[in-house]
Amino acid sequence: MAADTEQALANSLKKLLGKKTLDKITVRDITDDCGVNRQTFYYHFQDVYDLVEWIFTEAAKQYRDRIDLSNWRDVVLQIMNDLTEDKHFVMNTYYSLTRRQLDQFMQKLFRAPIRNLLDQASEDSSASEEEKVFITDMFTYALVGIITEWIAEGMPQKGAEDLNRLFQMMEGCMAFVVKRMEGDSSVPRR
Amino acid sequence: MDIVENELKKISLMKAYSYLNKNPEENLPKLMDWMDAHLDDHVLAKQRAFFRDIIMKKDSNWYRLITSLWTDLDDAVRRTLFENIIINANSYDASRIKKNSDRYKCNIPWIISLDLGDEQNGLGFEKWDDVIDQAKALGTFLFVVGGQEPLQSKEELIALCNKNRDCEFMVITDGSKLDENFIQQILRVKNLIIALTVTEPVMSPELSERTELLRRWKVPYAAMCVYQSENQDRFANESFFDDLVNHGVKLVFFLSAISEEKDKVYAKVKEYRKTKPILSIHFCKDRELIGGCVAGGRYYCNINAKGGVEPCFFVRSSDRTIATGSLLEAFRGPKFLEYYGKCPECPAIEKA
Repeated sequence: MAADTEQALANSLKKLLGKKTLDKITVRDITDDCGVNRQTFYYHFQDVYDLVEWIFTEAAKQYRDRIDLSNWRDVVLQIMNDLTEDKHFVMNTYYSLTRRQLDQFMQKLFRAPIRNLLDQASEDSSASEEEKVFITDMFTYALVGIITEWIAEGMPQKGAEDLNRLFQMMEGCMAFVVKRMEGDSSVPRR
Repeated sequence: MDIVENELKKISLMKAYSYLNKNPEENLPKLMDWMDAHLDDHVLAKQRAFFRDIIMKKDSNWYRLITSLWTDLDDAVRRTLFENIIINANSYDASRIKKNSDRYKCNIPWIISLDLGDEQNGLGFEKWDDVIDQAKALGTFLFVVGGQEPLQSKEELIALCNKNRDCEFMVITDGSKLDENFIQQILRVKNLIIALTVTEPVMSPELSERTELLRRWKVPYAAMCVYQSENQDRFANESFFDDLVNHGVKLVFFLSAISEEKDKVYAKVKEYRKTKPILSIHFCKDRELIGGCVAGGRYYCNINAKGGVEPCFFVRSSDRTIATGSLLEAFRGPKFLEYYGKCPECPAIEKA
């Protein structure tokens, strides 16, 4: 029941984004389109941005658990395709969010799958949790940076190549970096 | 610059929280020093002095109580509580209240209680949403939701909490409508505390069950006991306080209009404050702790189900209503101005 309402509100927002930018859309616009009252909206979401985040998170759920070291290229291509299909929504959101909001958003989306990849690449490793978090962060920032730039440029086709290169780097890097961290853990940090 | 400074203060306070979170027992005293360095002197001065005294004594009941907040509360909820209460009581919002109070020459309360009313006749989400926005603009960020039985309007309550995550809400309820589904909502919004009304000196099995449910999910809950001279003997004894402690109650509010000399429960409150791991606050009488009479918007006011803005829990009359006017107009009305800069004799206290 609750999921239906959330999906209905999401559909209304996406529909409205076809006509105006996110920053011009009010909760009332959404609830009027959807046929619920503001109380119901706020029961589920803190504000319009909360709903936007929900839309992204729901989409990301599909990829989160499926990504592994053998299939990430395919999954990434699929993500790019899906984003391109939803270009209106993505571009609109991009231009309406503050830099900080966008960064936090994207980091939230990508951190888990990247951590997933790292865990797979470092199965036998004795690297500490703190070190793993750090490595995950670095790769997350890189990925978020590339995708943000790609969106800023209007989501050109070549974006897929850039992302491919990043994941190539990651594939090689991850196991290597983890090993390096292990090696250093016996040496006192300055 | 104001905004940047406040954001930085907020960040450093939350860092302090993370620091505390790592090892509360060890870091609590250090945190007090830290807070003294970062909060304006006038902010919660009396209360900080009171807590500093407690924290220094590691074997005290209070110390045990405070450290139990780490074992007994959901992590995210505790963090939100800290963020909303400590950080909003920081110079940013406390000064905002002070600034607005000086600017408009009236009291601006820290806590506002509101009566949602029942589903058919209540003022409704839109109105309460607007009132809370007005209150926040003035600097208030703590809200109590009372009335007949607020959990009759669960969606409205959760919607108000969800929309205002930077505020802390406490709902006064008999607990009968508390279920696991609602507890999940509390854990989702993180800024709602349950205050269970206690009408018996020994908790009924139904109420005990509710406290168990809350305890299991690590949801914060308090007790609220309103009594009169006719029934005060039932609560003025050790077994009542012990019963609360045994049910995991960490905070209990007492309200009564009995005169201080004749209030036996209040005498017990003061006595057990030194020994039992429970924070008891007597609404009217704990002037030392609270900082004087709280009424008339000095710290607190009530808005009834029809929108009438009332100075106190015990003074149920109003000369302004938010149904047609603004909250600020109510604070600047004659009734509330009686409490501005002064404290009139309490009309509610039972005469000898």
